[in-house]
Amino acid sequence: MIAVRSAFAAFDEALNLDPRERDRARERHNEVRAALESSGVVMSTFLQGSFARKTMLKPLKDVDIVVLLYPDSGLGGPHGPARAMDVFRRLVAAEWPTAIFDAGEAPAGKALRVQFDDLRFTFDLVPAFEGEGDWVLIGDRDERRWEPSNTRIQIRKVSERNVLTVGSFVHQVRMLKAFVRHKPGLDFVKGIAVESIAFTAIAGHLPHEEALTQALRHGAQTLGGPLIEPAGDDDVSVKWEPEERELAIKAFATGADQAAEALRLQRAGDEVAAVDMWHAILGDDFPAAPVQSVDDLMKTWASGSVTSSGRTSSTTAGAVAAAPGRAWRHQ
Amino acid sequence: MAAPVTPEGEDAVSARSILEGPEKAIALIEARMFGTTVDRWARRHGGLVIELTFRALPGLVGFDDERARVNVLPDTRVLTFPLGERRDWKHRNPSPIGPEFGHLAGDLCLFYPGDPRALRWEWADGFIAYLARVQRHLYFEEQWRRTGNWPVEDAPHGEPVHNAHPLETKFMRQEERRWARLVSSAS
Repeated sequence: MIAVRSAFAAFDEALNLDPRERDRARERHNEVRAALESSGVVMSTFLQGSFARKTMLKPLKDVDIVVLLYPDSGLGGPHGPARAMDVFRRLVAAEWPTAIFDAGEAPAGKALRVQFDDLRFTFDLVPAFEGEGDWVLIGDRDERRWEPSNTRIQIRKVSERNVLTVGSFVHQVRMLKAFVRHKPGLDFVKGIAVESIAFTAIAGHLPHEEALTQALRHGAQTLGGPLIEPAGDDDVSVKWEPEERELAIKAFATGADQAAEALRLQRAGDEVAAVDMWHAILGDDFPAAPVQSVDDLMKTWASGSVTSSGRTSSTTAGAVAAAPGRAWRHQ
Repeated sequence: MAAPVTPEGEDAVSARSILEGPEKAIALIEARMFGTTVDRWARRHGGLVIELTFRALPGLVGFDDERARVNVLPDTRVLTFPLGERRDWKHRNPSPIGPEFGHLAGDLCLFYPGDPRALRWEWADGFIAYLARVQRHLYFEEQWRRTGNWPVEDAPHGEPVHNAHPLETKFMRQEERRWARLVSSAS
């Protein structure tokens, strides 16, 4: 029999980045840092984004590196971001002559994209200066300015939350991201938005199924308003159109109802039906329950319930009760 | 967490809500019941006629969709007529027009009226619970056609001379007791 906890463990494994790729990304980050720091204009670097926060879903596509410049590097001012990226390009090309820069999509204003020929993912090099406190000033070559960013505070907050939840938070964020990825039409719900929902919903250590149920319900109840990212500064849903917001609320509400049903089934002892529900909620990365045999289906349909994923259960925990009865005919 | 055993009230779709506001009730039916769609509905002389399609549950490999027309009469009695090609039926009343018409215009016999309350449907259980019995009945009929066996104890046809048909199986007696407890704790 497949149990809910073991199914979630398999699901978690299916979402994890390939450990070899993750290690290669870290190694290359160290190598790039060494190459940049040798120039005398780069003070240090740190990883940002979902890779840094350990909330990235596989496959690994890009790694963001914030490159902190010395205040006296001479790379400040409106032309500084473009000049800094030019410096990065020359330094990286000197070490990796086959590296390609800004390939593919239109170049981003805030990052120099680097593609190495021995890696399947890209690196985004983001020029920055230290700001007040933990803030940094991120350079934008298109806008020709340096903008304050709380990226480091976000990393710290997520890390603290992960400690508070005994290491389960980042796994649960990935699971919630998988939910969003599985739902059609939710492309506008970016990773940081999902993290923000999870951050406000999951404050302590909970089993995955309970944490996800809580996060889905929280999303359904709060997405009508601002969605503040973990550092507590920005509304990451500010660009959503009203119809997109409605779509997100509906998806989270349906998911929350189904998740509550899955919990009822699990608590009532029908772990297989609960797994089937989670598979319906979270998509193909979540293990599928064995197909129900016709005999088992008929037997449990005679008295129990039918789940919203279309499985019959001998428990009464499914969405629609299947009360027993004797068919008859008056003559 | 309490299970939705007999979800009374608006959420379960009462007689009043289905007759007065079918659109809302239909949306709830479609949202709640797996693979169920209301193909059309119409008001008829103070009552309501609804035609539904029930998609086969995923485990019913090789089974077709089933369709039915459900009439909610103004006095709130409910009758259900299966739709589709002519087939054999084990628990469907014969045609009221005459024996030569087979089951034409004969409704389904979803439960035995002489059974204890837990085995019978009443409006207090909600319309979704009624439709759930219809859906199950249609697939039990198909299973009977395929195997010659009704999947669970059924009641003998007609009325007995004395009292009601007794429950014959341990399963049905046990389930009657279980649901009687559930219904009383939910109400």
